[in-house]
This record gives sequence, C-alpha cells and structure tokens, in this order.
Amino acid sequence: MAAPTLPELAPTRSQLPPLGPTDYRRAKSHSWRRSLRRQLFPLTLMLPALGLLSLISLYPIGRLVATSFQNMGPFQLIQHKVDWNGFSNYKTLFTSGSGLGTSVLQTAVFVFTCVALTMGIGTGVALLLGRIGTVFRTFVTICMLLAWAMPTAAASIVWTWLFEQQYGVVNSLLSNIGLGFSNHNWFGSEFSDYGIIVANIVWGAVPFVALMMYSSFTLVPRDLYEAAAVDGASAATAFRQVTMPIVRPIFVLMSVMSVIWDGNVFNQVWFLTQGNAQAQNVIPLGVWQYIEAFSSNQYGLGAAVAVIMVLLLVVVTGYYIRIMVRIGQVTREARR
Amino acid sequence: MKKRFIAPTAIALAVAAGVGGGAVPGIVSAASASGGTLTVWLMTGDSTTTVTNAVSAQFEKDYPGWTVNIEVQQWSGITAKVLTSLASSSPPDVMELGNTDVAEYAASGGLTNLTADKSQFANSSDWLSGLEGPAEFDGGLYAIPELGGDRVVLYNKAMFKAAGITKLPTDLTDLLGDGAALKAHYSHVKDFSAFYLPGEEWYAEMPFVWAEGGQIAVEKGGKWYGDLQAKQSLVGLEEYQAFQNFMSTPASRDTNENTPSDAGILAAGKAAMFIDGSWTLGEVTADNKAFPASDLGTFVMPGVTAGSQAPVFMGGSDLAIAKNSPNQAQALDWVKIFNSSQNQLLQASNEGFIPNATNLVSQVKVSANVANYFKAAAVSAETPPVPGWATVEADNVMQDLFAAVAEGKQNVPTIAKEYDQKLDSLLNMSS
Repeated sequence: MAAPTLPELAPTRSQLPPLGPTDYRRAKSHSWRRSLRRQLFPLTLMLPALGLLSLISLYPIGRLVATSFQNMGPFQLIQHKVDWNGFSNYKTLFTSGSGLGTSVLQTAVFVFTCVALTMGIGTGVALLLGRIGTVFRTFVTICMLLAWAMPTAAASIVWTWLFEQQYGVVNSLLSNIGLGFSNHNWFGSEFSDYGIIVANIVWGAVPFVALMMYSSFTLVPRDLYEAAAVDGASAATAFRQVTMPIVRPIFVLMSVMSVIWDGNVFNQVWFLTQGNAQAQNVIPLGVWQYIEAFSSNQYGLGAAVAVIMVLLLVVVTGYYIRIMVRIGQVTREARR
Repeated sequence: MKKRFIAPTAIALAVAAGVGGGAVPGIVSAASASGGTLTVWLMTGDSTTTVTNAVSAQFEKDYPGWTVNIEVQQWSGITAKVLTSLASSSPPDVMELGNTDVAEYAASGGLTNLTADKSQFANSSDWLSGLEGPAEFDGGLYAIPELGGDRVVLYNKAMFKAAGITKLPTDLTDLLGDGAALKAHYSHVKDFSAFYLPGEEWYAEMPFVWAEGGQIAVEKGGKWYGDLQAKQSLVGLEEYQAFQNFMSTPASRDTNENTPSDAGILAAGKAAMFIDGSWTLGEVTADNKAFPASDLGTFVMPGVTAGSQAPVFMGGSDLAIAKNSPNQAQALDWVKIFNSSQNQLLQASNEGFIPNATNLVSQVKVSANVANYFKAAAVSAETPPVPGWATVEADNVMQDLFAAVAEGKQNVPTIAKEYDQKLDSLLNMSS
C-alpha cells in the first residue's frame, strides 16, 4: 500500500465542513474543566496586580479623559458641578495661537536632543568603563551614582546658582579664562534656557544609561571579539557587527525609557526657569499642561493637554515596543 | 488623642444629621455643645505663636471644651490646596489667604459671605483699603484683613555720608541726584548699584506708575482692561526704565529680588540702597555680621512732587471662613478675637506687620526703621479685585512686564500694548 498523502492523514482546515458550536463542545467536553482551570489559575494570580493597576493607573486616566471633556474650574470644583462641554477644550487647543503647536514642536526637538545625547554619551562612557582599570572604574561608577542619586529638584536649584548672572561660578570661570562672559544672562532667551535644561537632564540621565550599557557589554562573549579580530575587523566594525546586535534590546529599552522620562519632564524645566517657563516661552508639554491646569485653574483644558501628551507618548513608545518585539522574535528564532 | 477622637465624632454626627455633604451655615452641630476642634490654616512666616496663642487662649476660654488646631501652610502650591479643601465637606474652618487671591476663592463660592457681620468687627470702618478692597467681590465681603506688609527704601547711612549726602531725598529727582553722587563716589566698586532694583520686583516698581496717576487696569462696563497704554502709565513706565537703568546694574534688569538677594548685595557693599519689605531689615545684618546695624536706615519711596510719597503696593493677608465648615459661629468668633485691637497691636509690635486698621497704625511702638513701613502704608494702591488677578500673579505677568521694560529690547509703548492685551484676556477669564 502506497504511503497515504498528507491530506488523507490529516485533512487541512479548509477541507473540513465548518464547525458548529456543538462540535466544539463535543470535542472539548472531556477536558474543558481542566483547561478552564488551567487558564483561570494564572488569571486569578494576576488579579491583585490587575486590581491595583486599575486603581492607581486606569482610574486616574479615566478621570483625566472625562475631565478633558468638561468645563472644570474652581467654581465647578467647589460646587461639585459636572459641566460637560464636549470637544470645547480640544477645539480651544487646536485653535491657532493656543500654544499647542509650539509646545509639541518644542517637546519633540527637546526629547530628541535629550535622548540622542543621553544615549550617545551614556554608551560612550560605558565603552570607556570597559577599558579602564578596576580602581578608576569604581571611582567613575561612584561619581556617576552620586550624580544619579541627586534629587532633580535640588540639582536644578544648584544649577541656577551655577549659572547665576552676576555671582554664578560659570560666568566667573569663563570670564577668568578670558572668554568675556562676565554678566552673561544664561536664562535670557528660550534657546539658552533649553540649552541649560538639556545639559542638566543629560547630566542626570547619563549615569543610569552608562551603567546599564556597561553591564550589557559584559554579556558579549570575549571570543567573538577574538574571532572578529582574526577576521581583521577594526574596533568600530567589531562594535557595529558584534557588540550592537547583542546589546540592541537593552539599547532600545533604554531609549524607550528615556523618551518617556524626557517627554514627561517637569522638575528640571520648572526649577531652572524659576517658575517663569511660560513667560520665557519654554513650554514642553509636561510643563505646559501644569500651567494650563494649575496656574490658570482651568483643569479641563489642562486635562485635554495631558490626554494629547499621553496619546503622543503612546504613539512613540508603541513604535519602539514593536521594534523590541521584533528583536525578541529574531533572538528566539536565532536560539532555536 | 482627644483631638483625633473628636473630629471623626463631629463628622459622624454631622452625617447623621444629614448635613455631611455640605454643612448648612447656621445649623450648629451637636458636637458644639460638648466641644470640638477648630482648624485654622495660617501661612508660614506670618503670624507667630505669640499672637496665635493669645487668640486661641481667649477663644478656648469663651468656648470651654473646644481646642484650636493651627496648621501652618507653605505658599508653594497653596492655591490648589485651598481650592481642593474648600471643595471637601470638612475643610479647615478658618484660612489665611493672600489678599489679592481672595476674589478668586470668593467667585468659586467656597467662602462664607461676611458682609452682614462686618459691623461686629473692631475697627472695621478703618481697615486698610489695600487689604479690604481685594476681599470684596461682587458687592460682598468674603474675608477680613489680617495683616499688611509694604516696601520702603533701605539704605546704607555710611555710604550716604561718604558721598556727601546730608539729607534724605524728598522727590524722585532728588533721589536720582543722590544716586549720581553715590555712583561717582563708588565708581571703583565693581558692579555697584546706587539703588539696586531688580527688574522683576514689580511690587516696588508699580509705584512709579501709580505715582504718575497710572493704573494696572480699569473697569469699563463690567469688564476689566489693561491700562498700561494710558498716558500717565506710560510716563511712569518710562521713568521707571530710566531710573532702573541709571541706578542698578545691567545684570539686575531680568532678575528678582531673591536670587541674588537684594539685602545680601547691600550687605556686601555693592549697593547703597534697595527697596523691600520689613523682613529684609534683619537679613542685611545676618548676611554680613560686620555690617553695623546703626548704619542701616529706611525712608519712604518719594513721589514725583516734593514731599509726596509714591503709593505702595499693599501686600498682606486676609482671614476667611470656609463655607463648608460646620463650625461657622466658632470660626467667626475666632476671627473676631484675632481682629481685636489688642491682638492687632500685639502682632504689629511683635512682628513688624502693619496692623489692619489706620487708627491702630499710630498706636504701635516700633523702631524708627519699622515706623517708616507704617508711614508708607498711609498711601497705598490696589490690584484689580477680580478672580483673574490670581492668574496674572501665577503667570508672573507683572514681573515680566517690568523686566521687559528694564531690558528695553522694544520701546515702552510696544511693551505696554503687549501686556495690556495679556491683562485683557486674563482679567476677564471666567472662573
């Protein structure tokens, strides 16, 4: 007897008549209890975490979205009045001159600059850490940890003193070495403001990125570098072809997290501009929504800005998460 | 323990009586018969325990079984905190509010209307207009004056003497002349200011406009409009610009009075004068221990005509009662005791704050330097009493206006037009 062809042994799904509900029940009746139990058990284990997440994350987001469709000010707050106004807050925001365009553009440029500098410098420092001796590595690591452990509010206030116009250390140093920065006003224009804010954020963020990247570099097997060297690869090529493919998931993860952190940044901007952010036209979304909601007490409008900010971050991080998932699949397939 | 036990009991009783959601004024909860706790929010740096202990002792004598719980609040983020507690069913009973913020809270309906009780308050016909005016909203009185503070010129007597200045200036021209003498005498001191005046110190700079008869804003047909482009306002702004640029360092054009501290600059010998509140009197000698206290003097900022005073900005605080407080009667009585002549005088002599009524000002015994702060209070001007003013302050609009004028990147009429437009939209914002 000739070996049966595959379709005879196991008909493909298209060759079978469509299944009705009874067919499913009959097919699964013997094991549904066990399978249900098997599916419910992990779900039950997740319940406390899910409950907590909904309470501290989903509920506030729900309230935020609801508030963004309301006219909500001190009067409504104190009188406990719910005053739905449809898309009115969003219409206000999308009217020209509302500041939304400026704010989104500033946020995009600001976040891109911060993340690029943080990741670039962080990776550079991580590479450096791999090349220096244990004593220096410990020293540099401790210094970085100290910078990282500094509360952002305190650090920002110290920076305002450093860059103070008449008595600041920076102006004093620069003018003493003959660069003529005596009395230079570092907080006089939005570009200069942003420059200092970016420097402050990168200074605070580099240590964590550097330490994470350094620990990921230690995962790369040494013999791969030896093989690459035998093949005549330069240091740059080895980094591109050997190191990066292995540490990419960590690199992408750090970038995603940096985008989220820098997109939400508030303290550094607020303290470095000394509460004067709006007047100096320094209005990244995180600060602008605070100004709309709590300086002007227009909570509805502030909520609408916050919703737009969340949506933008979801789009950006969604894109990165897709890349990460793809990297994950590639890694799994490579292991098989 | 006792306090903690009583408060929930009072709430439970109030809920049982069906007034939990928002207690109805006039209904005295059952708790008041046996006692209760009166919660009072005061702002940091204002009334000290010397005064509040005296007030609370009197109150606790009048209401046996009651205790007063004073909670000191920080200024930072206070608006959101006050608003959310006014919205709750158990707000603090009495609250200290910045005088220029009262209108916003009153408009939101969170404060008890005190108009009918005004005549029961001591000295109520002589209250300082700079404190009472902003507490009035829509024809009603929503808070009562607690304490006042203004600004006068602090100067280094030794520097005046060294520069050959024998008498204090009586008008603005005099003051500028003294400034020229000081600048000439101290030309060797780097970054010297004859009169240190940081551009963002608007409380001290608005008097230039007021002295010329200008205003921040005027009311026309129920709406408020920025009035900086009016002729008198422009004259005042231009005088300020010339004064600031001549008297103070270029670095001071876009800074505030705190960083760097104006008192510290005088203490370090980098300025002969600056203008600020009575709290800076102590800062000068604290910043420089070698600075002889006897060298520090004060005088009232002169106006444009000889012998006149430039109207001062009357800063200060008012006391208000939360509408949702179940202890309306007790709260009212605590405020009345605070407002009594005796306690106002105690506060003035103890802390240097200006008492809340003009008839009390002459009765306080204080040093010559503090006396000038009281003298300056006689001529004061007000900010627009509208809810939108709180946003003008929160957005630092006035600070930026005066910094922009000092920097002079655009001409004064252009800046005035820009800020009039800002004021038009902020002052008429519905709350």
